[in-house]
Amino acid sequence: MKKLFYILVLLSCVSCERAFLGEDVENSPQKNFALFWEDFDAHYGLFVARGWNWDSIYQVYEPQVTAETTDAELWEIFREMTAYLDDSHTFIYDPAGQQFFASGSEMDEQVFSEFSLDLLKKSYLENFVPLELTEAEGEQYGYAKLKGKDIGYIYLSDMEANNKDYIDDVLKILGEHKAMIIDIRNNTGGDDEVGRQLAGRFAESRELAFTVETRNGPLHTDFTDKQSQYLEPLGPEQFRKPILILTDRITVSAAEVFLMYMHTIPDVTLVGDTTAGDFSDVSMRRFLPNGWQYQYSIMQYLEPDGTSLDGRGHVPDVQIRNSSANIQAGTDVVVERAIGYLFETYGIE
Amino acid sequence: MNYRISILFCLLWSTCSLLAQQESTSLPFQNQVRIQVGLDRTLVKDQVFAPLNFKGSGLALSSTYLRQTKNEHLSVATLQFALSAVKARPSDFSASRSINGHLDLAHFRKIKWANEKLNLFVGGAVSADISLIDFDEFEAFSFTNLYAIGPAALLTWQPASAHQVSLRADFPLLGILVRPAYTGWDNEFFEKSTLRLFFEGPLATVVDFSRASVQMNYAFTVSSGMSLSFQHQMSYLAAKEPGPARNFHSLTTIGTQFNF
Repeated sequence: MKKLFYILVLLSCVSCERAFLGEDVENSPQKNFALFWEDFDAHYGLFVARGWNWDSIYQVYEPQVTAETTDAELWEIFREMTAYLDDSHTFIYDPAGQQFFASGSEMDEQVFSEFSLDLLKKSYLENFVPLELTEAEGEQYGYAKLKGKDIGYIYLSDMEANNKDYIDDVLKILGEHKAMIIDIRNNTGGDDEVGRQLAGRFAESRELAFTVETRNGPLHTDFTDKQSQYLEPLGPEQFRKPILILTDRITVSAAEVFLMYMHTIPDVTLVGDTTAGDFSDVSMRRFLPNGWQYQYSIMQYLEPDGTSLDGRGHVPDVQIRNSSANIQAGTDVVVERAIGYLFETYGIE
Repeated sequence: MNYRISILFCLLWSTCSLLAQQESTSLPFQNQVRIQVGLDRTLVKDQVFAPLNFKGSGLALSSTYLRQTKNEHLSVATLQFALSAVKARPSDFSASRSINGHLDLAHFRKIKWANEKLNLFVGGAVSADISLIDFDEFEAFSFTNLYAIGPAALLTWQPASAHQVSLRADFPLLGILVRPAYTGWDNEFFEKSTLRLFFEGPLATVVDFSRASVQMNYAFTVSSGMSLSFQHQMSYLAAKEPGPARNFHSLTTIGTQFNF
């Protein structure tokens, strides 16, 4: 029995990590760089769609990383590599140092200043009804009527909703108007399904909206078979009158996917600025030996004709953009242009 | 998938008899129920999740039912669950949870030899293993799930009337292996059917996975029909695709054993 006891103690105390898992990966600047570059090379989904040369990034930055590279220097290198991709679904994060960088976000602050829902409520909308679509603080959703116009208005600050059928109640109120403005400026995306449900309330028939393929191999051209996504009429009633959708440079991700659904519907017009051009779902959170984390795009969303809007975005039919000065002066030229367009094209006022 | 599991199950049980008669038995019970609780020590390295070694510990629960047949053969059912907190190196920012479930149904035939205190049983088991690692409510996750069949052996030793030691080893050889998609992300999981994600996979052999489990149990009889038990088990599950994954668990549990 004594022998057995000693064997048990030994079994309990022996470290099995090296035996079963192998050596843990080295935490050095070179190893962190190698893992970071290789992970993107093996899994990032948009090299071909955006025409990026990831090998050139290796050639430029790898020589700059040595055993003496500091954390600050390595962070700057990763920041530049990420910025090169110009993809707002790609970011790096240092939880210990509280540093965060999202690619393609350099203009966000400027674009945020070119929109104001408070200005719209004060000067352009009447009877604004806020919607509580999620528990998230700071998000804004609501509907109203344009002052003095027979035009309904919906604003969504993201594509999230606990109850995706909320739009049916909204349409009971706004459905009587001659036209609808759906404002998704400053919309940060969210759930593609929310966009599909919303678009379905305006659909006339079942149409192919786009296809999706996910990276699934070591080559930059390795993707799964295309998955087709259709728009079809949803909900108890559909709104089938002219629709204007307002967009800006922050309109991104699930909001842009919503626009892909809306493209299949006649009498839908985009007014505003080109959207962000970032459609893909995001990878799992990725980890490095130095504790940094990151995520990136892994899919291609393609129009029915096979073209990709990644990196380009939706180009509006009517191009117009606010400036910060416009907003500060109490004017939203995008909304004013949208109102003018409805009158010029449809005689609606 | 369901029909494949059914075929695996029937292959094992079709040649086994579950009839129990009240005749002389090599083990001092006809039925035994064992309930254990203790510590799980987890080691995980899954390239789909992260290129790092994750380790930690947590709670382990185990229950076993043994039944001795009239021919002194054994039928065994085991259910185990472990929930552990793991992380890579000393970084709290990688803190994740490891969830493991195991279920097996085994049947052992006694090998007759001239030793009253030592009994050897050989047979096979059908098993289901689910090993999941999850960071921050599925911000990152991966899994290695195996539904398999393979040989197993059990050695029991009774050095004295109040002491019993058993040693069991399992080596699944053929089964259904379920691993994540290449990028780890699967639209199906988040937008459609979660269950399908955990139960749909190709037929696999030891070329595609490695699985082994060794369990040692010591029981001390405290009264008629009841014993205190100490159990130590080491199990290993590894797969190659879409990225190498290795899961190792060391479970140390104590509990109670009831014979009737």
